[in-house]
Amino acid sequence: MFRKIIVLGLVSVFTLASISSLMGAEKITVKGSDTMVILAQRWAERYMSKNGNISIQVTGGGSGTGITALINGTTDICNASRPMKQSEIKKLKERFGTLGVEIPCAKDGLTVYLNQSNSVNNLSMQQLKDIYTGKITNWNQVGGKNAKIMLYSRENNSGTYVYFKDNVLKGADYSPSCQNLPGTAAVVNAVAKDVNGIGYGGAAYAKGIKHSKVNGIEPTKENIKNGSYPISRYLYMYLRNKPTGAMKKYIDWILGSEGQAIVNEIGYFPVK
Amino acid sequence: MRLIKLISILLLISLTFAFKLNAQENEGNKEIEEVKSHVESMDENLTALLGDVAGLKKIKISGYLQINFEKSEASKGFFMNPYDSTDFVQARFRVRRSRIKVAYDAGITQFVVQGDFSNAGFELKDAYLSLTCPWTKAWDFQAGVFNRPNYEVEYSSSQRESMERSLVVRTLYPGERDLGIMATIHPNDWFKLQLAGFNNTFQGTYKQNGPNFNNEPLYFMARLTKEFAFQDLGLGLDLGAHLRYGNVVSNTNKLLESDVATKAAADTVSLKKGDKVGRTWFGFEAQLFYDLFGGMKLMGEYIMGNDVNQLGTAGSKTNGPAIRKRSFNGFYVMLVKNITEEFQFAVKYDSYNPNTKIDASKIDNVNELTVNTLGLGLHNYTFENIRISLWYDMITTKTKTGLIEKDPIDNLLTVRFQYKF
Repeated sequence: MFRKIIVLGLVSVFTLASISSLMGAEKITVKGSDTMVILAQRWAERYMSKNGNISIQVTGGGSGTGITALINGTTDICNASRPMKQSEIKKLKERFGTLGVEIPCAKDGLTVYLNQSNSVNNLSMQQLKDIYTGKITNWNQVGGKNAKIMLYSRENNSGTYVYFKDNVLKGADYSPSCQNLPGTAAVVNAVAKDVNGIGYGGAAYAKGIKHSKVNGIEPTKENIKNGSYPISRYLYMYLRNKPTGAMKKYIDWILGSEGQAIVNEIGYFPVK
Repeated sequence: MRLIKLISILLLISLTFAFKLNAQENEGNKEIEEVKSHVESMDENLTALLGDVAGLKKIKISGYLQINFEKSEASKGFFMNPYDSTDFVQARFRVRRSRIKVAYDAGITQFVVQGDFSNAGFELKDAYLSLTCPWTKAWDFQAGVFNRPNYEVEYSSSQRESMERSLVVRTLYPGERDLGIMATIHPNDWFKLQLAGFNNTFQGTYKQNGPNFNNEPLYFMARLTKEFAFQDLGLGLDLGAHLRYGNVVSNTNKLLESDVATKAAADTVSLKKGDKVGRTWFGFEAQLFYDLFGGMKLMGEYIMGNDVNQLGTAGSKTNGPAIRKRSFNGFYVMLVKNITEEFQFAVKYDSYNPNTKIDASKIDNVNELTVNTLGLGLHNYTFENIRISLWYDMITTKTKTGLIEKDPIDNLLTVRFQYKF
């Protein structure tokens, strides 16, 4: 008798929960990359203005924070400026039984910020690696004045931080003298104030500073789009499951002409 | 004359005003300088503070707490009173886990220590250091006390959907951990190979020693896993195999092979004290993940090999204490299905046959009867950090005339409240 009650109870709850899953409210939460937060907010505002029945809430915090939220089930969409790591996919598999759905939604060039008074205008990939790993410490080693190089970076929960480490530093550790700042805007601000500063981040944020050429190539839209600029990357949205219903409509809109036009407006590059 | 006077007065006023302005300007500049020096000193403090924060961020504290309500159908469900061995209850609350893990992550090196504060008191769980190859990042080295390389062993109980690990895994890896070293090779995550050596000295493992044998000081383990991802299909398949190689050293001169009864007078094998008896097994594992209406996973493992256990005088009166060799097998299969973001349904079947070689008619020891468990349950994740679980285990023990006439009534209902951070 006891066994029957327990089994019947579990099956009933299973059925009720299944039914409730089909009645989802039209509310979407988006969390993650600070690089993408302006873009995501613009998408959400524009979409909500045309679809009054849907509510989209966007917050930043960094790609790592967004991915953790996706794994913990506290966000529907995670914005990330780097691909998910194997260890993160493993956690998603353990909790939700899925590999996650990766949607490249924009392309971005990672630009190197220099103070406007800096006489250096070009850095090679090797020089960038050596600067950020602490091998090169003075601007005169790369053709500038005799002054200590001040390094500014993002925090380690940032996708930009991880992307730069993987693709420019080739996995090597950042120099201990590197100051990690919360957000690309803070990096831009620090370099704008510090005549000996160097930073990196998305082109969409770069105001009050100058961009360094990398390997002699300027980070122009054309160069990033045609791939000749060496530090470019995709920006991603991650979901736990294949999108359905309101979520699918929103994703389709982002990848459509209207959503991709906003990508251009913000200063990134469309994927289609 | 008047004009000269007027000009003189105006000149005087202008000079006074100009002087005042200059003084004000000087004062203003002084204030700006003061503010600037304040900002600079704040900037210096902030830089120092950021360095401190970066240092603190290397320390990671995590943990989880599990409070169980358990209701057993067995009349002697749980032994509760340490002063009265006849005092049993059918239902109880207990703190199953109360763990705090502290890790210091310095990038390529890591320090981890974990303790458990449960009803039984404090127990050290993990204490290890790890090092990642700084150049290739393709291998890690670990030394200390940590989980042995097996899928269900490494699958934390804070994440695992069944209330307990399967019986075969609990039997082979009591306490899950041991003291030793391990190298993990994972070139570009193409595959993962774990190679480990342990020394049978930590918690559950030393309990596997008996008066008639001791485990060899060292045993070795290896586990190879490979993950396959078919993103377009929303499908993932992880496959793996593991091996445990080791021996026990005899402290007696009798060995009972798997296919004889434990009370058998004949068919024993003579040993010399100090002879080695294999305690070796291997297993296969598979996990399937599929993005089907909210995600599902199907996990399974099969392990077989040779184990030994002690037989006291009660087990072998004729021959004196002997070592019992057993060929065993065991497996589990578990299906987990997300129903919504908040609910998850799971069903698990596990089976453990402690002796596959002995004929059913010869079994004379309840510990060699096959036990099967069918468990099913529901988990709720409505509240952040909290999981509430309802789980029911239906346990079936094979019967044997003269030994166990009827499958014992021992099904178990568990309600668990878990907090994890």
